[in-house]
Amino acid sequence: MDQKYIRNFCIIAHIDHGKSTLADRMLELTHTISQRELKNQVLDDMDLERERGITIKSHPIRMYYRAKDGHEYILNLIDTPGHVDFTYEVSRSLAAAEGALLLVDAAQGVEAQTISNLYLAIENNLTIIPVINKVDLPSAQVDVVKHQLIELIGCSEDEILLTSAKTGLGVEEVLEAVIDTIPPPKGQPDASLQALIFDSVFDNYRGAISYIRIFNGSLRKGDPIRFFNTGREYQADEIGILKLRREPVDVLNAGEVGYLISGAKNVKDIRVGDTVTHAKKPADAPLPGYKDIKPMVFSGIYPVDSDDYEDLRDALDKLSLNDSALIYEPETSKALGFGFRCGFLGLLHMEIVQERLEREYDLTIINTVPNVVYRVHLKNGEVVEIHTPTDLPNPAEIDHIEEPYISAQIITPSEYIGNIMKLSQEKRAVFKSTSYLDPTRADLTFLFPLSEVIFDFYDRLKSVSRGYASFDYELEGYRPGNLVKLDILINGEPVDALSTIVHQDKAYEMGQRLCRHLKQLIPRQLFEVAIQAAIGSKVIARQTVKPLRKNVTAKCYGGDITRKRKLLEKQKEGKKRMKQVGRVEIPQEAFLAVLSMNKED
Amino acid sequence: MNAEKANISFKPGIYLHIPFCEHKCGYCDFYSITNRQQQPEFVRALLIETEKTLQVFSIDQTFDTIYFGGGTPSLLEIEQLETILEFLRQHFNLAQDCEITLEMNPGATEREKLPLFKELGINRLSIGIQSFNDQELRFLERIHSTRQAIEAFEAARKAGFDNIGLDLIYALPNQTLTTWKHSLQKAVALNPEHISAYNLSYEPNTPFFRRLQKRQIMPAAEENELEFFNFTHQFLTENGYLHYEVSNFTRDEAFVSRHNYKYWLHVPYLGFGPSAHSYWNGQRWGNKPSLSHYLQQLNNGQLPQDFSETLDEQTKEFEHIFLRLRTYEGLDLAAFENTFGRSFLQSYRKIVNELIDSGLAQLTGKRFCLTQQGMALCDEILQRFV
Repeated sequence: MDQKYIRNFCIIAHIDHGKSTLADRMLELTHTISQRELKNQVLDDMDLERERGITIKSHPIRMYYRAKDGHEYILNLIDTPGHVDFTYEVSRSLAAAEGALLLVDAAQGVEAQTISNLYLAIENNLTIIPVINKVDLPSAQVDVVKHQLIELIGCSEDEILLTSAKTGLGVEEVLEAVIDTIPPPKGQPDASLQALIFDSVFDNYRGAISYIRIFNGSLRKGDPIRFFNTGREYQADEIGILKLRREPVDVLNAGEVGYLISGAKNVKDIRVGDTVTHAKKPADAPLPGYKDIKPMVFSGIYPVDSDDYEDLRDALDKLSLNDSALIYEPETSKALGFGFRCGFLGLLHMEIVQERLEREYDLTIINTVPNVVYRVHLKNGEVVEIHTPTDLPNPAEIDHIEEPYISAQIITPSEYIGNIMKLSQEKRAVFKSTSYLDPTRADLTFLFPLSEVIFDFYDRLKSVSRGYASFDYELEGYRPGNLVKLDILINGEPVDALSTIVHQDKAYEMGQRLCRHLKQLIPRQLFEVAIQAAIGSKVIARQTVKPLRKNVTAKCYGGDITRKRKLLEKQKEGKKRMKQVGRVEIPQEAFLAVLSMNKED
Repeated sequence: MNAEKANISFKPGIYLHIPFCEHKCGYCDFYSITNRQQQPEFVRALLIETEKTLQVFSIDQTFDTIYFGGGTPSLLEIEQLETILEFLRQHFNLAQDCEITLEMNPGATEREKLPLFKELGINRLSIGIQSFNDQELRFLERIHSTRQAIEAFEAARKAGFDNIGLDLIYALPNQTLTTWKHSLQKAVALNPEHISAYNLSYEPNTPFFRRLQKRQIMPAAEENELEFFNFTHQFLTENGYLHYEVSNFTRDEAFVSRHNYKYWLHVPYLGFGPSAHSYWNGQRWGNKPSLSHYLQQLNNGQLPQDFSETLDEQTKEFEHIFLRLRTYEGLDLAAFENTFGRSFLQSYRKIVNELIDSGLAQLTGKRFCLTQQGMALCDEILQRFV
């Protein structure tokens, strides 16, 4: 089909603003899927996604639509993941399209995430079609939201489409607008092949499958191919288009979206953002925008029962087949034994992995306090990246430490600005700017140390704004920080899994609070338990868990020794989920003490 | 404790559970009922159970203790006691110096029976006095008074009993060290051979436990319990008593409760009657705590067992440790190695060292035992050996 009858687009929306419902209506309207086949939110594959109402994996889908102009069009809807952790994946999905629907809930208005994704779309030169959804809700404030959109993208009022994806109202107009407004692809059909990998999934039978957008040239079944950035060469064993299921084709031409099965086994062999070209007639250059994505947040994952170590490794192996962003390497902790240090794109990504390990693989795990990646400049000029506080070199060798900063955008009703400013200050943020989307909604930008955001920031933001503020961020870069390692010592022994890196100014207070909190979490035992916080060799806080004094059954139940024995065994069983550090038994919650500290206050 | 002189033996013992009481006290979780109509039937069934057990196991060992527990065994008619003892003497090899203990309440009717008990060959009494404070006795729902308790004790002496134990309970709600000390003083003044002093415990399925859950009773605080425990130890030790097990004291090694000590020595014993437990040939079993079930089963030619288990080596070892460590003499290292084929100190090196380092246990010659401080934490410590 001629490229002028192709439209590639995606939908930018905040969670719950109706993206999936709108997609479902489009699939129905274009007869891509019958009502019978339609489960709600067809495009979200994983249970976890459906439960949380968020999309993690993009799943492109091709629709055929006969427009009012009488022509039949191919519409490729490229679904985008909907969370801040997956910004890079979003940007690659956007790069595969020429246009985007900017979908905003009529009752909720524009949110931070919508804006940051909108900016990504604008960076990728996408044509934006503003759509207000849920206009039939009693709480809809169509005029207010229209005003926000006009402020935001400078469109005119009559360009804004009104829909109710739930009832189907206005959906046809959206499809017409896609055809009228979004430009068709303008690839060169005869040039050397340049195809963008914008996502990949793992299939148990086929190995790694890439989702691709052909920018120039064409890809034929059986072609020898090369991945530009990794340099790996494969063969196009199967290519095809994506409807509800995969449909193989012999050729994919410029402008088209489809899939590629190439014999690559692991999703890690296929980098999102990489360019596919012909191995024999390669293009001169890759498509722009490739980035090596690196994990931002690290955390230790340990089996509670050390016998489960191998099972945990298998589970991580399997998870990572489908999750190219998850990295892990074996790690040994004095306190927790054998486990893995895992890298995640962000906190949500971390939570998803943890939940999947417990739910899908039935493992009981302890995860340690997450930390960011620090860059340590040594006095000898060397720079080392550390992924865990225990790896921090001796302070005497350190010249200075840099920590990652993010540029954060917070959108909030203006009455909460004061609270948010206060919270941000507490979190060492640098205020950058304020603007107003409308008289009642402010758009604040800050620079935050990422490490401050991974400790309970999101919950606190929600609480100081009564749930109204929304938050999004992108990595800004590294900046020096006055950072120290705060160690926790239990009976004089440092517990590696409890070490954190904190700002010098906060270390004292943090040490005090952490000790107090740990005292609540560690039960009394046979021996006195001293909990100390220390920086280097200097102890800055101490708490004591008094020893148990009396626990003895007066009677041995006549001759009923069995009963007595079972009681003792049961009591012991109750302690099994604790980890023994030295002679102290530490419950799992204690290893996340830093994260639960605020609930105590 | 001087092992030579001590009244301890490795011969098996016999326990008889007599499940009748005049009144069921709110704290007690031993099986008993107040309806005594089936007492004669029970005695017949008890003999049948004993006979059946003897058929199952060919038993020719010599037994050197018989213990009538309950319930209130002193409620048995003299004829009933006589029938039972006669039966046991016929069917078991009993040692010449067999210790025959009877638990009794200090009520008036029982007092009259004392000379007859003596005549039957009962040579040790365990009297459930519990307190020498009438208010506390009422709280415990005891049906006797302090005066009756003293009279019962004196009558027992008069009847010729030279081995008498008293049971006392402490750490009652609102009890003070002063009233407890008073009870101990009164007890010591009677100069009994043996004193059992139990910390009041709230066992599930007792009225006290339910009152506790409804917050009608405020239990003593842990600190107070410890204070009572240590005070008892100190007071009785100063008065010449030897603390030989968590809750047991004797005036002299010769008056250790030979029967009860078998439990802590991991020595075999046979128990008869509803809810009685046995340990024999590495097997433990227990009878159902129900008199009607007991009678019915035996009428049908069945043993009234509720459960039975065969102990594997690991379980035996753990039992051995936790039972031995409840005694102040502790665990005999050579005997342990003989029985289980490995060294106790090496097998449990880590916990043993921790306990010794923190003063909760000690090595004395060839034994490993808990200190007074460790004894107060016995249950917490024993878990570590699971």
